[in-house]
Amino acid sequence: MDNGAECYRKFLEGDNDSLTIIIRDYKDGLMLYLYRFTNDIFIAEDLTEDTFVKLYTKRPKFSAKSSFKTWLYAIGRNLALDHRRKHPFLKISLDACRNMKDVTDIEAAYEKTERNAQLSKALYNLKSDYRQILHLVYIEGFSIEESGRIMGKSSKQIGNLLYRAKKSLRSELEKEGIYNEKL
Amino acid sequence: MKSYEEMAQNVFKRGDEYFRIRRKRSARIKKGVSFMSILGIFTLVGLGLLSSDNVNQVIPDDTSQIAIVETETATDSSTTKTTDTHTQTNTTTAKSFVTSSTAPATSVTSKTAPPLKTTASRSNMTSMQKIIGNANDVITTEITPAYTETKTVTTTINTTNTTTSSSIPNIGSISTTKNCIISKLAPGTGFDSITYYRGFTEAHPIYLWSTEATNFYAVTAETYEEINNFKLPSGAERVDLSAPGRIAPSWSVIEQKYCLDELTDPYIIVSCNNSEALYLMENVKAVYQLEQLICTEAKTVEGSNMHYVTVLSSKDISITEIGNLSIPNEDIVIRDIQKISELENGQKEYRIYFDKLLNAAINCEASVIRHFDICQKLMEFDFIDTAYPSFMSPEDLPSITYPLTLMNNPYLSDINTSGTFGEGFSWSLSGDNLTFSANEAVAGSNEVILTTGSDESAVASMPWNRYRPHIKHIVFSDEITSLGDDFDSYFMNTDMNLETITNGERFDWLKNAVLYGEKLRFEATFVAPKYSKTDWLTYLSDAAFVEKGIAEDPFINPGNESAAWEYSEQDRIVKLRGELTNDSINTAAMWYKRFDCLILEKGTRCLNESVMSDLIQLTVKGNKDELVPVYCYPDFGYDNINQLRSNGITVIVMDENNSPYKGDINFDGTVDMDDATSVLNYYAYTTAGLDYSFAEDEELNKFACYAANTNTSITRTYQNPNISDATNILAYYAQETAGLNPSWDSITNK
Repeated sequence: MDNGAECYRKFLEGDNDSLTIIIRDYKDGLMLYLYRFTNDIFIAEDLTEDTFVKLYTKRPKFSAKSSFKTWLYAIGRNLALDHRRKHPFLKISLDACRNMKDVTDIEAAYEKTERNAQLSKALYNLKSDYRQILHLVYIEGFSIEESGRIMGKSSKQIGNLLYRAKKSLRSELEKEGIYNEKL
Repeated sequence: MKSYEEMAQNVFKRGDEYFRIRRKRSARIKKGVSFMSILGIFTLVGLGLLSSDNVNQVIPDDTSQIAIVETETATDSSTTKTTDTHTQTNTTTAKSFVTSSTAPATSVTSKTAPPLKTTASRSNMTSMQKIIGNANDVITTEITPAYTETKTVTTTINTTNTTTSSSIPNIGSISTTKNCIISKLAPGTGFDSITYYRGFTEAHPIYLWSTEATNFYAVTAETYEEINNFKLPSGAERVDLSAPGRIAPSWSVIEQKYCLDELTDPYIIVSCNNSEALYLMENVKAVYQLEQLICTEAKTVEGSNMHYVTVLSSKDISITEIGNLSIPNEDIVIRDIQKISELENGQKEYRIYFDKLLNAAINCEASVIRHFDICQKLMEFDFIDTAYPSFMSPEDLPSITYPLTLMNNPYLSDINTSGTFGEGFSWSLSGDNLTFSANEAVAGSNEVILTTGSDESAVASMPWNRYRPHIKHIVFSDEITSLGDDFDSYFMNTDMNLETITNGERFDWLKNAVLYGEKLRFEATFVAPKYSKTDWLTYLSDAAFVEKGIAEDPFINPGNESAAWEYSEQDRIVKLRGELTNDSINTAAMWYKRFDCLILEKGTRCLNESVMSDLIQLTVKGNKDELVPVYCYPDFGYDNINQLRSNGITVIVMDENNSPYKGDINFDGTVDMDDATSVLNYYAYTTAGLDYSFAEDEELNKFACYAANTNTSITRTYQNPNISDATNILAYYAQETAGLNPSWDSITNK
């Protein structure tokens, strides 16, 4: 159950421990999502931390128009967008490549299933938008509408993006000899 | 990777540091401002700079109608002196005064105030052309110095009947930068494939073949101008193809593209000894046309050794056209062919006779290969004479030279063929029109998806593929609702030079195709009668655009002032208006890479962070490290403007004469006590010889100075804000609070 909204309300009332709970509950998921965005786990980790710092310092209002998780991911995505604008030519560092194991570990812990692990590997080679939408929908289980809120797109756009992403993913999986008719 | 505890620890640590710095900065500013404000006021009073004129002017006649608003503007804890500003409003005249706890009812006026100077450190600002979009007025605001660094704000209005285009700096048309390319083609060895890219046009092969040609030159360029400026190299190598041991030339292919601006074809300049032996072909209809025949029966002719199969063909066939009759494990020799009948569906029934015992079943495969006359002679079919390019003439060359330009395929009008595919679909090609339709059984379904029922490569092997370069018009019949993946991919990746796509009302695919289309060729869709862009096109990914854009605008400019956005292809401007949403910004993003300037019209609001993020992203110009400038009005909001600027975006804030934003020093959309207080602070600081900025941002500060100059017309010379400006702002606020409709002209007695 998404109790982030309740924790956040308590945090706004002065209970900092609630923010710690939020960090505990959402850190890995948010980091993985931002990793889909950046393809660099270290940057994703920094951005995740920035997201929580933003909650702590700015205390933005959560209007409950969406789930807390959706709202949190949208904040993280905006920070990632800012980061990308400031560092448009940033490439993945060698360290990041070497530490793919870290990503795998997190994924393994977070995603649990083999199917998702396979999916994650294939996602790495896709475009950022594709990675994001597939992550949100298939790994996080967000609805089209929720994903749209996070990515700042309409449901229709998300639907089309998802279609393309699946197609691209299918192609990537097939390169690895994995055929998934459900895609 | 950090654990969540570590991350939480970091979060709190960083957050606490943030709060500490903010508190420290806030305290310092507050203390400094309070002290200097009061010091400045006392200095003015002491110097007798303030006369009673304004007080006399503003004391209300009827105190019963006075509205009093009090605000504490500054407090110095050490002096505990407070400046109270009262605004009093009469229903007929607005008057204001400034009081102090230590100097009550001191009148203020600007008449005797000396010219103000400031030592504010500001960098020079170049002249800016600014655009006022909604009134067809072009306001050129030239900010030049009034500060000690010679900065003044001189604003002039040039009212024109033109749109904003004239004031957008550096908006050029698409230019070409590619140089001419000359390729020496050595017959006999085959030519290298040469590919010239022109945005979204794909391969357009030219076949050349010669037995005796000596030198081939293929010259291509983006424009005629480039061709004409091209210098042909001297000393062309002569190749004697008839020399002993010379290997006969092979077919060679030059893939060329249309030119970007003028759609010029490349010149093919051929120098040869014997033109009779030179063949050039452009887009031959087909070297052969293969038609699969349907075998319906296989029999032996009674009383003879002859056998036959009965086949169905969509077209008339002759024995010479039968290139292959394939029967598994049998070698046969075709002897004859006879037409038996013509069926109602147009199919023709033939018997193909051959002289070997037929053991195969009736499902044998037969095919017809129709040979065409390929390699027509040079001057007869495939090319037309054109003028010599300016860089050469026949006299310059030792042998016969032909300047040639490609012409349309002479065979094209002959193309008339059709077939079936998938489950219940058919196609027909007539000239450059390719039509897809569904049979009745399929057509009755709610959703008719055009598909081969196989993988993507199946589409590529469809018979119409060989005509791809010729196909300009595609028609999807009314019953077809969308395309399957195979077709989708096919049309996304083929090299057709489509001009129009016609489809039924239920057809939905084009939206998707364009949405993430990798090809701008789908400009063709925009001229399709069923669509107008604004009906359905809401977003284009940047992948849909090519680097150089296109020569003409395939889109329709909505030109609708009530629309959330507007785009001018000619001016390369995107305008946004109203309350920005992710959708409205993403819509404008369709012009990604295709605009040089973003205008936020007056009244544009950005109310959430997600929208702001998208707006910032919108300013990134394609994949370049470049941001387009943003023109906006103060009502877009100080925070928003600052946020844009903090992302490196050049933001030019515009204003109009007598706009309600004059006097709105903090750009919060209202003229109120805060603004008056800011001006007082400014006056106090600068009179005391101290620096003062309305805003941290340099450019915004300049604009704030202008906004503070209430009694300065934008056509007049700029002066620094002074006490009278503060008074005017108070008067404006008072009138507005009283429900009057204040104007700066009346307040400043112009």
